[in-house]
Amino acid sequence: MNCTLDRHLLEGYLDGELGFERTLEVEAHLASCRSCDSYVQGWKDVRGALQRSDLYHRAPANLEEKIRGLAPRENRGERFPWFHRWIWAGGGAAFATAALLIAFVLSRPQNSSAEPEVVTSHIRSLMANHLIDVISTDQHTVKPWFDGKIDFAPPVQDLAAEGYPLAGGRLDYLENRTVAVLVYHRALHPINLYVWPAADNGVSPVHKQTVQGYNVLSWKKNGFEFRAVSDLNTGELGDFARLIKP
Amino acid sequence: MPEQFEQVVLPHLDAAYNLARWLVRSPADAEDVVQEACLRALRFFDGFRGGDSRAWLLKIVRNTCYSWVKKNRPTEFTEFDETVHSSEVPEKDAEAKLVLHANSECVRKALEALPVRFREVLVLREVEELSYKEISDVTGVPMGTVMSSLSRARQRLREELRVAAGKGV
Repeated sequence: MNCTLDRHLLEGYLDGELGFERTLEVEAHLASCRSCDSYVQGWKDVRGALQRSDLYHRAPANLEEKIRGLAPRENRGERFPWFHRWIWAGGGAAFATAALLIAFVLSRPQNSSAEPEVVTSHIRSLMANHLIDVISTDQHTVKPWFDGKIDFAPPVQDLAAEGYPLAGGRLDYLENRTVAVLVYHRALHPINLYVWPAADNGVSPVHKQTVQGYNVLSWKKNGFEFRAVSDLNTGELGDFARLIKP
Repeated sequence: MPEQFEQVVLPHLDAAYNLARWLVRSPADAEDVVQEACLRALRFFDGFRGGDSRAWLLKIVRNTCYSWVKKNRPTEFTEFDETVHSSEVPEKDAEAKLVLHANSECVRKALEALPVRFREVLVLREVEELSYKEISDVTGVPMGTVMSSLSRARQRLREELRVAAGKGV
Protein backbone atom coordinates (compact mmCIF):
# COMPACT_ATOMS: atom_id res chain seq x y z
CA MET A 1 0.00 0.00 0.00
CA ASN A 2 3.04 2.30 -0.09
CA CYS A 3 2.43 3.40 -3.63
CA THR A 4 4.37 6.45 -4.68
CA LEU A 5 2.77 6.98 -8.06
CA ASP A 6 1.81 10.63 -8.55
CA ARG A 7 -1.92 11.06 -8.30
CA HIS A 8 -1.83 13.58 -11.13
CA LEU A 9 -0.68 10.80 -13.40
CA LEU A 10 -3.81 8.82 -12.52
CA GLU A 11 -5.95 11.87 -13.23
CA GLY A 12 -4.23 12.45 -16.55
CA TYR A 13 -4.97 8.82 -17.30
CA LEU A 14 -8.64 9.21 -16.33
CA ASP A 15 -8.87 12.28 -18.54
CA GLY A 16 -7.23 10.67 -21.55
CA GLU A 17 -4.53 13.34 -21.48
CA LEU A 18 -1.50 11.05 -21.30
CA GLY A 19 0.33 10.03 -24.42
CA PHE A 20 0.23 6.48 -25.69
CA GLU A 21 3.32 5.26 -23.84
CA ARG A 22 2.44 6.75 -20.48
CA THR A 23 -1.08 5.37 -20.78
CA LEU A 24 0.41 1.91 -21.20
CA GLU A 25 2.70 2.50 -18.22
CA VAL A 26 -0.22 3.52 -16.02
CA GLU A 27 -2.28 0.55 -17.20
CA ALA A 28 0.59 -1.79 -16.32
CA HIS A 29 0.81 -0.16 -12.90
CA LEU A 30 -2.94 -0.43 -12.29
CA ALA A 31 -2.80 -4.14 -12.98
CA SER A 32 -0.47 -4.59 -10.01
CA CYS A 33 -1.49 -1.81 -7.60
CA ARG A 34 -4.82 -2.24 -5.82
CA SER A 35 -4.72 1.18 -4.25
CA CYS A 36 -4.37 3.05 -7.54
CA ASP A 37 -6.77 0.74 -9.30
CA SER A 38 -9.53 1.34 -6.76
CA TYR A 39 -8.84 5.06 -6.98
CA VAL A 40 -9.39 4.94 -10.73
CA GLN A 41 -12.44 2.69 -10.50
CA GLY A 42 -13.92 4.86 -7.74
CA TRP A 43 -13.69 7.94 -9.89
CA LYS A 44 -15.14 6.13 -12.89
CA ASP A 45 -18.22 5.39 -10.75
CA VAL A 46 -18.54 9.06 -9.82
CA ARG A 47 -18.08 10.03 -13.46
CA GLY A 48 -20.81 7.58 -14.44
CA ALA A 49 -23.16 9.27 -11.97
CA LEU A 50 -22.16 12.76 -13.17
CA GLN A 51 -22.95 11.79 -16.74
CA ARG A 52 -26.35 10.33 -16.02
CA SER A 53 -29.08 12.27 -17.67
CA ASP A 54 -30.91 13.24 -14.49
CA LEU A 55 -27.95 15.45 -13.55
CA TYR A 56 -28.00 17.16 -16.93
CA HIS A 57 -30.04 20.34 -17.06
CA ARG A 58 -31.46 20.61 -20.54
CA ALA A 59 -32.47 24.06 -21.72
CA PRO A 60 -36.18 24.76 -21.18
CA ALA A 61 -38.23 24.46 -24.38
CA ASN A 62 -39.05 28.16 -24.63
CA LEU A 63 -35.43 29.29 -24.27
CA GLU A 64 -34.61 28.45 -27.89
CA GLU A 65 -37.47 30.66 -29.06
CA LYS A 66 -36.25 33.49 -26.87
CA ILE A 67 -32.75 33.18 -28.33
CA ARG A 68 -34.14 33.13 -31.87
CA GLY A 69 -35.97 36.32 -30.97
CA LEU A 70 -32.69 38.02 -30.10
CA ALA A 71 -31.09 37.89 -33.52
CA PRO A 72 -33.58 39.80 -35.67
CA ARG A 73 -33.97 42.60 -33.14
CA GLU A 74 -30.24 43.15 -32.87
CA ASN A 75 -29.22 42.45 -36.42
CA ARG A 76 -32.07 43.33 -38.71
CA GLY A 77 -32.87 46.52 -36.83
CA GLU A 78 -31.17 49.87 -37.20
CA ARG A 79 -27.82 48.52 -36.06
CA PHE A 80 -26.80 47.58 -39.57
CA PRO A 81 -29.01 49.60 -41.96
CA TRP A 82 -26.05 50.04 -44.31
CA PHE A 83 -25.83 46.29 -44.67
CA HIS A 84 -29.32 46.02 -46.12
CA ARG A 85 -28.94 49.03 -48.37
CA TRP A 86 -25.73 47.54 -49.69
CA ILE A 87 -27.39 44.19 -50.33
CA TRP A 88 -30.32 45.73 -52.14
CA ALA A 89 -28.10 48.09 -54.12
CA GLY A 90 -26.85 45.11 -56.08
CA GLY A 91 -24.05 44.10 -53.79
CA GLY A 92 -25.79 40.78 -53.40
CA ALA A 93 -24.31 39.34 -56.56
CA ALA A 94 -20.81 40.46 -55.64
CA PHE A 95 -21.30 39.09 -52.15
CA ALA A 96 -22.48 35.73 -53.47
CA THR A 97 -19.54 35.50 -55.88
CA ALA A 98 -17.12 36.31 -53.08
CA ALA A 99 -18.76 33.73 -50.81
CA LEU A 100 -18.54 31.09 -53.53
CA LEU A 101 -14.89 31.88 -54.11
CA ILE A 102 -14.14 31.67 -50.40
CA ALA A 103 -16.07 28.42 -50.09
CA PHE A 104 -14.17 27.04 -53.07
CA VAL A 105 -10.78 28.06 -51.69
CA LEU A 106 -11.63 26.72 -48.23
CA SER A 107 -12.87 23.39 -49.48
CA ARG A 108 -9.99 22.74 -51.85
CA PRO A 109 -7.44 21.20 -49.50
CA GLN A 110 -9.90 18.50 -48.42
CA ASN A 111 -10.14 15.34 -50.43
CA SER A 112 -13.90 15.35 -50.15
CA SER A 113 -16.44 18.14 -50.00
CA ALA A 114 -18.87 16.10 -47.92
CA GLU A 115 -17.49 17.07 -44.51
CA PRO A 116 -19.02 20.54 -44.07
CA GLU A 117 -22.25 19.28 -45.62
CA VAL A 118 -22.30 16.35 -43.22
CA VAL A 119 -21.86 18.74 -40.27
CA THR A 120 -24.71 20.95 -41.49
CA SER A 121 -26.83 17.83 -41.79
CA HIS A 122 -25.81 16.74 -38.29
CA ILE A 123 -26.74 20.14 -36.83
CA ARG A 124 -30.05 20.17 -38.70
CA SER A 125 -30.90 16.72 -37.37
CA LEU A 126 -30.41 18.02 -33.82
CA MET A 127 -32.22 21.32 -34.34
CA ALA A 128 -35.28 20.15 -36.19
CA ASN A 129 -36.03 17.23 -33.86
CA HIS A 130 -35.53 14.98 -36.83
CA LEU A 131 -32.78 12.81 -35.47
CA ILE A 132 -34.54 9.50 -35.90
CA ASP A 133 -37.18 8.06 -38.26
CA VAL A 134 -37.15 4.54 -36.87
CA ILE A 135 -36.61 4.43 -33.14
CA SER A 136 -35.19 1.13 -32.05
CA THR A 137 -32.23 -0.23 -30.18
CA ASP A 138 -32.59 -3.50 -32.08
CA GLN A 139 -30.42 -3.88 -35.16
CA HIS A 140 -32.91 -6.42 -36.54
CA THR A 141 -35.59 -3.72 -36.56
CA VAL A 142 -33.45 -0.92 -37.90
CA LYS A 143 -31.81 -2.82 -40.74
CA PRO A 144 -35.03 -4.05 -42.44
CA TRP A 145 -36.54 -0.57 -42.05
CA PHE A 146 -34.17 0.63 -44.78
CA ASP A 147 -35.38 -2.08 -47.20
CA GLY A 148 -37.14 -0.54 -50.18
CA LYS A 149 -36.28 2.98 -49.07
CA ILE A 150 -32.73 2.94 -50.41
CA ASP A 151 -30.91 0.86 -53.02
CA PHE A 152 -28.35 -0.62 -50.62
CA ALA A 153 -28.31 -2.44 -47.29
CA PRO A 154 -26.29 -0.45 -44.75
CA PRO A 155 -24.37 -2.39 -42.10
CA VAL A 156 -26.28 -2.05 -38.81
CA GLN A 157 -24.91 -3.25 -35.51
CA ASP A 158 -25.79 -2.49 -31.92
CA LEU A 159 -22.75 -1.44 -29.89
CA ALA A 160 -24.50 -1.16 -26.52
CA ALA A 161 -22.08 -3.62 -24.95
CA GLU A 162 -19.21 -1.38 -26.02
CA GLY A 163 -20.92 1.73 -24.64
CA TYR A 164 -22.41 3.06 -27.87
CA PRO A 165 -26.04 1.95 -27.88
CA LEU A 166 -27.93 2.12 -31.16
CA ALA A 167 -30.84 4.57 -30.95
CA GLY A 168 -32.34 4.25 -34.43
CA GLY A 169 -31.95 5.28 -38.04
CA ARG A 170 -33.20 7.71 -40.63
CA LEU A 171 -32.81 8.68 -44.26
CA ASP A 172 -30.92 11.79 -45.20
CA TYR A 173 -29.65 13.46 -48.34
CA LEU A 174 -25.94 14.03 -48.85
CA GLU A 175 -23.61 14.47 -51.85
CA ASN A 176 -26.59 14.38 -54.21
CA ARG A 177 -27.87 11.03 -53.04
CA THR A 178 -30.01 9.44 -50.37
CA VAL A 179 -27.92 8.04 -47.55
CA ALA A 180 -28.62 5.90 -44.51
CA VAL A 181 -27.99 7.44 -41.11
CA LEU A 182 -27.57 5.31 -38.02
CA VAL A 183 -27.94 7.13 -34.75
CA TYR A 184 -25.90 6.04 -31.74
CA HIS A 185 -25.41 7.51 -28.30
CA ARG A 186 -22.41 7.84 -26.07
CA ALA A 187 -23.55 9.11 -22.66
CA LEU A 188 -25.32 12.36 -23.65
CA HIS A 189 -23.71 12.71 -27.06
CA PRO A 190 -25.64 11.70 -30.16
CA ILE A 191 -23.53 10.24 -32.97
CA ASN A 192 -24.78 10.38 -36.55
CA LEU A 193 -23.19 7.68 -38.70
CA TYR A 194 -23.76 8.38 -42.41
CA VAL A 195 -23.38 5.39 -44.72
CA TRP A 196 -23.60 5.16 -48.50
CA PRO A 197 -22.04 2.97 -51.19
CA ALA A 198 -18.54 4.05 -52.24
CA ALA A 199 -17.67 4.72 -55.87
CA ASP A 200 -15.08 1.94 -55.77
CA ASN A 201 -13.87 -0.85 -53.53
CA GLY A 202 -10.86 1.05 -52.22
CA VAL A 203 -10.06 1.48 -48.55
CA SER A 204 -9.32 4.84 -46.90
CA PRO A 205 -8.10 5.04 -43.31
CA VAL A 206 -9.97 7.12 -40.76
CA HIS A 207 -9.50 10.84 -41.42
CA LYS A 208 -10.21 13.26 -38.56
CA GLN A 209 -11.53 16.76 -38.91
CA THR A 210 -13.14 19.35 -36.67
CA VAL A 211 -15.81 21.57 -38.16
CA GLN A 212 -17.62 24.17 -36.03
CA GLY A 213 -16.73 22.28 -32.89
CA TYR A 214 -18.00 18.95 -34.20
CA ASN A 215 -15.68 16.07 -34.81
CA VAL A 216 -16.00 14.37 -38.17
CA LEU A 217 -14.40 11.04 -38.95
CA SER A 218 -14.40 9.84 -42.56
CA TRP A 219 -13.35 6.48 -43.85
CA LYS A 220 -14.05 4.01 -46.62
CA LYS A 221 -14.23 0.28 -46.16
CA ASN A 222 -15.84 -2.74 -47.85
CA GLY A 223 -17.50 -0.66 -50.52
CA PHE A 224 -19.08 1.86 -48.15
CA GLU A 225 -18.33 5.49 -47.34
CA PHE A 226 -18.69 6.32 -43.65
CA ARG A 227 -18.93 9.66 -41.88
CA ALA A 228 -19.30 9.77 -38.11
CA VAL A 229 -20.26 13.20 -36.74
CA SER A 230 -20.62 14.10 -33.08
CA ASP A 231 -19.69 16.56 -30.37
CA LEU A 232 -18.09 13.57 -28.66
CA ASN A 233 -14.31 13.85 -28.20
CA THR A 234 -12.13 12.45 -31.01
CA GLY A 235 -10.72 9.68 -28.82
CA GLU A 236 -14.05 8.05 -28.10
CA LEU A 237 -15.39 8.81 -31.56
CA GLY A 238 -12.28 7.06 -32.93
CA ASP A 239 -13.01 4.03 -30.74
CA PHE A 240 -16.53 4.04 -32.12
CA ALA A 241 -15.26 4.14 -35.72
CA ARG A 242 -13.01 1.14 -35.07
CA LEU A 243 -16.02 -0.85 -33.82
CA ILE A 244 -17.97 -0.42 -37.05
CA LYS A 245 -17.53 -3.56 -39.12
CA PRO A 246 -19.42 -3.91 -42.36
CA MET B 1 -25.99 36.76 -40.25
CA PRO B 2 -28.89 35.95 -37.83
CA GLU B 3 -29.31 32.50 -39.43
CA GLN B 4 -25.58 31.90 -39.12
CA PHE B 5 -25.69 33.02 -35.52
CA GLU B 6 -28.51 30.59 -34.79
CA GLN B 7 -26.62 27.76 -36.47
CA VAL B 8 -23.61 28.40 -34.29
CA VAL B 9 -25.41 28.98 -30.99
CA LEU B 10 -28.60 26.90 -30.93
CA PRO B 11 -27.01 23.43 -31.19
CA HIS B 12 -25.08 24.18 -28.00
CA LEU B 13 -27.98 25.64 -26.06
CA ASP B 14 -28.28 22.61 -23.75
CA ALA B 15 -24.56 22.75 -22.95
CA ALA B 16 -24.84 26.49 -22.32
CA TYR B 17 -27.86 26.11 -20.07
CA ASN B 18 -26.41 23.13 -18.18
CA LEU B 19 -23.22 25.05 -17.41
CA ALA B 20 -25.16 28.14 -16.32
CA ARG B 21 -27.52 26.03 -14.24
CA TRP B 22 -24.63 24.45 -12.35
CA LEU B 23 -22.84 27.75 -11.87
CA VAL B 24 -25.74 29.93 -10.70
CA ARG B 25 -27.77 27.04 -9.22
CA SER B 26 -31.24 28.36 -10.03
CA PRO B 27 -33.37 27.62 -13.13
CA ALA B 28 -34.73 31.15 -13.53
CA ASP B 29 -31.33 32.79 -13.06
CA ALA B 30 -29.68 30.28 -15.40
CA GLU B 31 -32.20 31.17 -18.09
CA ASP B 32 -31.54 34.90 -17.63
CA VAL B 33 -27.80 34.35 -17.72
CA VAL B 34 -27.98 32.27 -20.93
CA GLN B 35 -30.09 34.95 -22.60
CA GLU B 36 -27.68 37.64 -21.51
CA ALA B 37 -24.77 35.50 -22.75
CA CYS B 38 -26.43 34.99 -26.13
CA LEU B 39 -26.94 38.74 -26.45
CA ARG B 40 -23.23 39.18 -25.81
CA ALA B 41 -22.46 36.37 -28.26
CA LEU B 42 -24.52 38.14 -30.90
CA ARG B 43 -22.67 41.37 -30.22
CA PHE B 44 -19.30 39.62 -30.53
CA PHE B 45 -20.37 37.40 -33.41
CA ASP B 46 -18.32 39.39 -35.91
CA GLY B 47 -15.28 38.36 -33.91
CA PHE B 48 -16.11 34.66 -34.14
CA ARG B 49 -13.69 33.22 -36.70
CA GLY B 50 -15.17 29.76 -36.97
CA GLY B 51 -13.58 26.87 -35.12
CA ASP B 52 -14.98 25.42 -31.95
CA SER B 53 -18.36 27.10 -31.58
CA ARG B 54 -19.23 25.20 -28.41
CA ALA B 55 -16.10 26.37 -26.58
CA TRP B 56 -16.69 29.89 -27.90
CA LEU B 57 -20.25 29.97 -26.56
CA LEU B 58 -19.35 28.28 -23.27
CA LYS B 59 -16.64 30.87 -22.71
CA ILE B 60 -19.18 33.68 -23.03
CA VAL B 61 -21.71 31.84 -20.84
CA ARG B 62 -19.01 31.19 -18.26
CA ASN B 63 -17.97 34.84 -18.13
CA THR B 64 -21.58 35.98 -17.89
CA CYS B 65 -22.14 33.53 -15.02
CA TYR B 66 -19.08 34.85 -13.21
CA SER B 67 -20.29 38.44 -13.51
CA TRP B 68 -23.63 37.29 -12.15
CA VAL B 69 -22.12 35.34 -9.24
CA LYS B 70 -19.76 38.20 -8.35
CA LYS B 71 -22.68 40.59 -8.25
CA ASN B 72 -25.22 38.38 -6.53
CA ARG B 73 -23.18 36.00 -4.38
CA PRO B 74 -19.79 37.63 -3.82
CA THR B 75 -19.01 35.31 -0.88
CA GLU B 76 -18.68 32.32 -3.23
CA PHE B 77 -15.26 33.49 -4.33
CA THR B 78 -13.77 34.00 -0.86
CA GLU B 79 -14.68 30.44 0.01
CA PHE B 80 -12.74 29.20 -3.00
CA ASP B 81 -9.59 31.20 -2.27
CA GLU B 82 -9.25 29.62 1.15
CA THR B 83 -9.65 26.19 -0.31
CA VAL B 84 -7.22 26.63 -3.13
CA HIS B 85 -4.45 28.01 -0.96
CA SER B 86 -4.60 25.24 1.60
CA SER B 87 -1.86 22.84 0.66
CA GLU B 88 -2.61 19.51 2.29
CA VAL B 89 -3.14 16.62 -0.07
CA PRO B 90 -4.73 13.60 1.60
CA GLU B 91 -3.26 10.17 1.22
CA LYS B 92 -4.31 8.32 -1.87
CA ASP B 93 -4.67 5.14 0.15
CA ALA B 94 -7.11 6.75 2.54
CA GLU B 95 -9.25 7.78 -0.41
CA ALA B 96 -9.01 4.43 -2.03
CA LYS B 97 -10.52 2.76 1.02
CA LEU B 98 -13.57 4.92 0.70
CA VAL B 99 -16.58 3.25 -0.76
CA LEU B 100 -18.20 5.95 -2.81
CA HIS B 101 -21.94 6.10 -2.83
CA ALA B 102 -22.16 7.42 -6.31
CA ASN B 103 -25.89 7.55 -6.86
CA SER B 104 -27.22 10.54 -8.78
CA GLU B 105 -28.91 12.25 -5.86
CA CYS B 106 -25.78 12.11 -3.66
CA VAL B 107 -23.58 13.28 -6.50
CA ARG B 108 -25.95 16.12 -7.34
CA LYS B 109 -25.96 17.37 -3.73
CA ALA B 110 -22.19 16.96 -3.42
CA LEU B 111 -21.55 18.87 -6.64
CA GLU B 112 -23.92 21.65 -5.63
CA ALA B 113 -22.09 22.02 -2.35
CA LEU B 114 -18.74 22.74 -4.04
CA PRO B 115 -17.34 26.23 -4.66
CA VAL B 116 -18.24 27.66 -8.04
CA ARG B 117 -14.80 27.16 -9.62
CA PHE B 118 -14.79 23.49 -8.71
CA ARG B 119 -18.31 23.00 -10.03
CA GLU B 120 -17.26 24.70 -13.24
CA VAL B 121 -14.21 22.57 -13.89
CA LEU B 122 -16.06 19.34 -13.08
CA VAL B 123 -18.99 20.14 -15.35
CA LEU B 124 -16.68 21.12 -18.21
CA ARG B 125 -14.48 18.02 -17.86
CA GLU B 126 -16.85 15.27 -16.73
CA VAL B 127 -20.14 16.30 -18.30
CA GLU B 128 -19.13 18.29 -21.38
CA GLU B 129 -15.95 16.22 -21.75
CA LEU B 130 -13.72 19.12 -22.68
CA SER B 131 -9.97 18.52 -22.78
CA TYR B 132 -7.59 20.43 -20.45
CA LYS B 133 -6.73 22.68 -23.38
CA GLU B 134 -10.38 23.43 -24.11
CA ILE B 135 -11.12 24.09 -20.43
CA SER B 136 -8.17 26.45 -20.39
CA ASP B 137 -9.61 28.27 -23.42
CA VAL B 138 -13.09 28.50 -21.91
CA THR B 139 -12.01 29.63 -18.45
CA GLY B 140 -8.99 31.71 -19.48
CA VAL B 141 -6.95 29.86 -16.86
CA PRO B 142 -3.55 28.27 -17.69
CA MET B 143 -3.45 24.51 -18.31
CA GLY B 144 -1.45 23.80 -15.15
CA THR B 145 -4.04 25.61 -13.06
CA VAL B 146 -6.82 23.71 -14.81
CA MET B 147 -5.16 20.45 -13.79
CA SER B 148 -4.68 21.45 -10.18
CA SER B 149 -8.23 22.88 -9.86
CA LEU B 150 -9.60 19.69 -11.35
CA SER B 151 -7.57 17.60 -8.95
CA ARG B 152 -8.78 19.61 -5.95
CA ALA B 153 -12.33 19.63 -7.25
CA ARG B 154 -12.31 15.84 -7.42
CA GLN B 155 -10.84 15.62 -3.97
CA ARG B 156 -13.55 17.90 -2.59
CA LEU B 157 -16.29 16.00 -4.37
CA ARG B 158 -14.99 12.76 -2.87
CA GLU B 159 -14.98 14.36 0.57
CA GLU B 160 -18.57 15.53 0.13
CA LEU B 161 -19.58 12.06 -0.98
CA ARG B 162 -17.80 10.53 1.99
CA VAL B 163 -19.66 12.86 4.37
CA ALA B 164 -22.93 11.94 2.67
CA ALA B 165 -22.08 8.24 2.96
CA GLY B 166 -21.25 8.72 6.66
CA LYS B 167 -24.65 10.26 7.25
CA GLY B 168 -26.19 7.28 5.54
CA VAL B 169 -27.84 9.50 2.91
